[in-house]
Amino acid sequence: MLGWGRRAKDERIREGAHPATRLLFLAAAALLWAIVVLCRLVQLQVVSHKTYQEQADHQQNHILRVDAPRGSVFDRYGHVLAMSVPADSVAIDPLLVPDRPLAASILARELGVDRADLLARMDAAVEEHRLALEQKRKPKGTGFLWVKRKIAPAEAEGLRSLKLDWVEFRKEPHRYYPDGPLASHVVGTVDFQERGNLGLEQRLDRDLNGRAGKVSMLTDVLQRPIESTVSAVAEPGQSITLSIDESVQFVAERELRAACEFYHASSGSTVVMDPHTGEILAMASYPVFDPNQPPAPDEPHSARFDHPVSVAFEPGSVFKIVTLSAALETTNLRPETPINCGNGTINLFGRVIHESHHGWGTIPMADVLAHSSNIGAIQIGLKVGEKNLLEYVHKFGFGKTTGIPLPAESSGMVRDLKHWGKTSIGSVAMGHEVSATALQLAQACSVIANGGVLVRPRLILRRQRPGGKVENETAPAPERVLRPETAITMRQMMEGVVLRGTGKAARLAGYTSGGKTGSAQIFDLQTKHYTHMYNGSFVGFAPVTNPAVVIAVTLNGVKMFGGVVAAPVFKSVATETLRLLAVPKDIPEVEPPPLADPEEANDVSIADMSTPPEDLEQLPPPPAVAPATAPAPAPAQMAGPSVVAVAGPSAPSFEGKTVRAVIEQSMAMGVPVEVVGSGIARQQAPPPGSPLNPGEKVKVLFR
Amino acid sequence: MATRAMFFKRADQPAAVGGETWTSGPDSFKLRPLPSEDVYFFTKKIDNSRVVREADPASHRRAVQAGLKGFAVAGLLILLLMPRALEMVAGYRIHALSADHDRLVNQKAAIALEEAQLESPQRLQQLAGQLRLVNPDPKNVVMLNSAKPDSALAALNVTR
Repeated sequence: MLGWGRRAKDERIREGAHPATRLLFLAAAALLWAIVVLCRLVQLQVVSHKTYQEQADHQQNHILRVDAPRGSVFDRYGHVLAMSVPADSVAIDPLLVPDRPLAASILARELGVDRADLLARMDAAVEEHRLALEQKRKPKGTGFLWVKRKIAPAEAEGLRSLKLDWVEFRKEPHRYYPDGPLASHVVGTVDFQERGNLGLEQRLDRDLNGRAGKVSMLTDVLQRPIESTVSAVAEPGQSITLSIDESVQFVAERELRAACEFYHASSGSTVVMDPHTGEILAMASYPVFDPNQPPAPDEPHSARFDHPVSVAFEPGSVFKIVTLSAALETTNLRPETPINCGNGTINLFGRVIHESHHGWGTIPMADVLAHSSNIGAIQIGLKVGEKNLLEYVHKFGFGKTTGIPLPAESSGMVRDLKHWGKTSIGSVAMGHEVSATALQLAQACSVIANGGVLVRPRLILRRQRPGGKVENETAPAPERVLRPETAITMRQMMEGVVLRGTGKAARLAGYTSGGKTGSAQIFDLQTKHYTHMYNGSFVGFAPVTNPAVVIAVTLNGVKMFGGVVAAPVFKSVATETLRLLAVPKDIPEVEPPPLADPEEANDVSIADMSTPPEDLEQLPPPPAVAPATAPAPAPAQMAGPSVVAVAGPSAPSFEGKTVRAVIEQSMAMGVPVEVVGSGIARQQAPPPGSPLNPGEKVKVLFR
Repeated sequence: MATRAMFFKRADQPAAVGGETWTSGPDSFKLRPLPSEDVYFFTKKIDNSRVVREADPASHRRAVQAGLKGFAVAGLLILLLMPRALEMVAGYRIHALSADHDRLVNQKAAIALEEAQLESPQRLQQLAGQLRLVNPDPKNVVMLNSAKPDSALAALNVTR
């Protein structure tokens, strides 16, 4: 057996099968194999290179868009006013959904969407896919369906807990306004694509939005990223710090809203401004809206107007501060200079003009301002002259925009001299034939409050990109308008308005204040006549010696005077603002007396210079008293604006009420109570009607 | 099957010659032989102690060189491939950390938003009302310092 192998070998050798030949056969086979492999390689790498490259790129390489997070908006102390946070959006592939009716039910329950609509969309997508297959064409948009975008975190958490593998979550940035309606007109809103469409969001959209980047990413089979190359660097948006003080803004909006609702004003504005720097501490507008919600069908058309900036109106008597300032600068008139008010009548270029309210004889110029005498203002305007008056109107910043970075700012209207009529000098002196915004009024008042320079309103303090350098906004150089002594004289005269004139409701406890009231009739464009509705305004500052704030308040479409409707708003806002700013008190803490007769605040300016307005409608009684220092009730519970509080609180009557009713009433009125016992209220101390000190509790005995 | 009797019987007889089998004789007890029953194994002791491999330094050197070259090539390959492998590992790590970073940034933003909502003045006002808190008595508020400039004119000089 062993011998057989040797014998066979010997036979093969004898037949001529040399080992080299066998090697040649092997080499040939290897070469053939190599040629086959090479051909296959050529086919893969050269012939079909493009196809396979595309397939590989499609599978491994992804170009992703890197969203640049939109910058936040802060108030001056860093409180968030607007912020973008990624929110979950829910999508499905209808073709992958195992049971569409059940899926629609689940999603409708979890996300609050319309089940029928969702099911119809899913069915339509599946049907489209089926038809596309039949017709051998590419289906259109059948593999992706948005269910609900930018859902709430609770909704996302609930849906995730169901672990539905056919539900896809995608992150999308969502803009939040944590304070709701607070400063909504200033901050503005964004649309669904995060593009600003109102307020600062619109004006600074480019800065806030940043620039999106691109990243090409290499992934493995499981789509896990291995490496990425940034092809375009994403630039996050700038964060903006405003000069707005959240607390002051809240107070301004609260008081303005209360007053507007109480006096049925169609709209209103409040501007709180630092007269030295021009920084806007608060800018409130009424009606308000919640920027977190899309516009409702029943939302008032004007709800999203930024009234302090965009809506100009005839300012009325508040404009007399410009007239008198011009008089002090250009004439020899002094506060004590007697002005002949003609007992309420003046013959102006052949037209007899009557005072719209109480007629005065000859009174000092300071009293012309204090009592808002229209005839006196006309006399002073005539003394100043058209040219000088117009020059100072412009110097005070009227007729041109302030430059505040908000969209749709109105420049107001100031006509050139060539368009003035014969009696225009009288109208302009009283604040007619011109129009101005509340912001312009605050700016003009700041000229007087800060010593005579025009300081442009500032809304933006600084900007910063994430991780970047802080860029402080530079304030434009102030312009001298009045001599310092003129400004001080004007302050004293405006203090007289508050102490003995039409602005008594603006007196503060603990602080001196000055200001000017205004009540301008509203012109009806349809009937071409002035109506008996007014723009009630008050512009003022406090304290008088070194003003810390300037506040301009306007209520549009009211039937009362500015001294009644707007001055109390000034008082409330100024009191809170001065406390928040820690401004030292400059007079003893004495609660000023209430406005005895609203007619004391009658400062209606003569609108058409020929037909004096008829008497105002019967004035309603002052609203319910609420303590200025007590917490304001919730808006829904407001019985009347706390801004018109003119006396201390008094103990209400709780007798005969249950514990619950007493507590609800006490909370609504801001009067703390101490509950003793249970059952029905039998006794209380102090008794009903007794004056209460701030914070004093009413002890109620229940049996 | 070979039996013991057959085994001893077979050993007593001489080997067959010319293909003639030793089972030719009549023997009723003999069994049919098994296949290859004539193959015998035995142990042969070979003494290789005196065989010595001839010393071949060149071959030894070639073997060592080949081994070293193999190691060198392997090391080179490893060195060439290692950065790529490490790069991939680092890539996974980096993207995992990046995802973590994004998640934490989003979480921080969400917390900041929640904090802002909790500190909303309107909410604080409602809470104050529920807790029956009131503003301090103005007489009890003493302003020790003013953050405002001393005068309007002073502010004017600063700005100029």
